[in-house]
Amino acid sequence: MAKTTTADPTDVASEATEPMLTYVPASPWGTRIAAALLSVIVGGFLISIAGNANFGWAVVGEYLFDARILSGLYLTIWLTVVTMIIGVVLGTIFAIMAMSNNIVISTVANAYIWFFRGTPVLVQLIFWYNLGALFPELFIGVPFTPWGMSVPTNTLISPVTAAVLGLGLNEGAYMSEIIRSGLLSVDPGQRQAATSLGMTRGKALWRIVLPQAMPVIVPPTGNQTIGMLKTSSLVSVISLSDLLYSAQTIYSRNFQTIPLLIVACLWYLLATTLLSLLQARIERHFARSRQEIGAVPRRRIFR
Amino acid sequence: MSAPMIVFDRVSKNYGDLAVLRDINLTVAAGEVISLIGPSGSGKSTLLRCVNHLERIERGSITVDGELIGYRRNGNHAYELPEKLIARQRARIGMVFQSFNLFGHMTALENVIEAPVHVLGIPRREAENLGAELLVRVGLADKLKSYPRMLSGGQQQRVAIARALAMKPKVILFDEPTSALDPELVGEVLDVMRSLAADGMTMMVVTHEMSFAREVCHRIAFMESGRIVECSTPTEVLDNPAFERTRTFLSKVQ
Ligand SMILES: Nc1ncnc2c1ncn2[C@@H]1O[C@H](COP(=O)(O)OP(=O)(O)OP(=O)(O)O)[C@@H](O)[C@H]1O
Ligand SMILES: [Mg+2]
Repeated sequence: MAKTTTADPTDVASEATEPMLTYVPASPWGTRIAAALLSVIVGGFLISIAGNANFGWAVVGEYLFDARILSGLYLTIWLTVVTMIIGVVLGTIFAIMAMSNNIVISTVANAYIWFFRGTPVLVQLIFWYNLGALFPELFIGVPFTPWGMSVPTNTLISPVTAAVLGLGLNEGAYMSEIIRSGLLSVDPGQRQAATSLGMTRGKALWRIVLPQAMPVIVPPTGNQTIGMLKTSSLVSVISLSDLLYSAQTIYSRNFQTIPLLIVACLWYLLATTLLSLLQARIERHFARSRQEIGAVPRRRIFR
Repeated sequence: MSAPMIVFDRVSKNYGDLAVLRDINLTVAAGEVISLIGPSGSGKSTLLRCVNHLERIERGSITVDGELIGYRRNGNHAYELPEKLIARQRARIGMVFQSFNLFGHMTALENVIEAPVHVLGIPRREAENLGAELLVRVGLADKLKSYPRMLSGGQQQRVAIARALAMKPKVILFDEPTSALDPELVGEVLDVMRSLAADGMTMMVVTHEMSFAREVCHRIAFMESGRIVECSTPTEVLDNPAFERTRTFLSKVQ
């Protein structure tokens, strides 16, 4: 840069004799004190729990890897995974149906969502479980024609089928609203551009719209999955031994209620933690087109 | 420049009671660049969107390179084609939007090769070479891996043009390609369009850039309330308009 000799009003600062400033950031004493106090309170709380014999930590250790608990855990995880897959598939189908221009199609989808969100999932489970009492025989084949065969309902609907149907259909209704809001969040211009490039509606949805809806869809879906982990404990009413029910069965014999509930909670917490990590990974994957990626600064402990 | 590329024959369209296009007759020759001007709501965008059947017309016909768009002709009836076949026709009609509409989850290069790979079925490697070439051509050699969010408006619009070109279109329709841009970015987009015109691409351009229309376009069509009021060379329309309505419009935009 060439030095100018003309009187330039912006040059005044460099002419001045004052020394350069050293900047000192404001020190967040209030935040530090609050953080220190919180550490003491939380620490004290943890110690009082860990040192409390009434919590029966020895019993917790004894039952943590009990075969019944582990098989309950397996059923809980299996139910969560299967019902979420059903929920996502049904949710996608019904979300697309609900957005259809055809009034019959969109009405059917909205009625499904209305009904399954509007009734308690517990009732739905019991309903599916008792389907045999309502329809003793199920007809499999072409409706209103004699082609097909009748099957006794109870051979078709086992408790596991009832659980999967009940939880999955219910989840589908919630997922369809989540997926619909995701699809609506994508600018209509994206679909137009895809169409004008010669994509069919299906291809545009799959390649262009859905991937861009994912950042909106994934976080609430993570929420639903974690919710399902615990909602699935309702299947105890149709005599399935999930994680919580297994713990209950054990403490109804040995009366170690609190330790066994802690055992169940530890497993629920572990599963939730893993699911949260998985969700964070998926979110990172779909955020890669965003500039802000990796820009989140590391948090300090005492600042 | 003689063979007709796009032919509008007595085209009319309504939205409910509103007649948006009325009896449009227009022939765009191969290699011709024609610009559409006219007041807001006069039907310019609608006319473009009818060309690739994003909108249906009620009367008349539109053909591109001799092919009826969106329909199959049988005697005096035109039967709408199945979606797949319409998509195939659209693939050869490029469109560039005012709001760019780049795919936000894809890089510039991915935007350009998306349709060649997933619509035309060109091998990815080959498409990437072609895509990179096109991006170089629109002056974005160093932006292949950039996401739309990281590009300026002018750069995004140039990617959008490259994306249209990647389908080797017979014609490209531009709907106000520079209206969303800051004034200093308009020039870079117009430069690209100018070079396309020089290469003989058939283009229909809705624009408010009168200097571009004058310099690059072979003809200018002035539209008002769904009609083409006059259509002639830029000098005729801009300097010596035959109709009072054209004159009033031009006095407002120039
Ligand atoms: N989907 C629609 N439903 C009903 N009317 C519409 C629709 N799209 C456009 N119109 C009407 O059709 C007329 C022509 O619209 P068009 O978008 O073609 O105008 P335009 O000449 O492109 O205007 P602009 O310069 O503002 O873009 C307008 O009166 C508009 O209100
Ligand atoms: Mg318009």
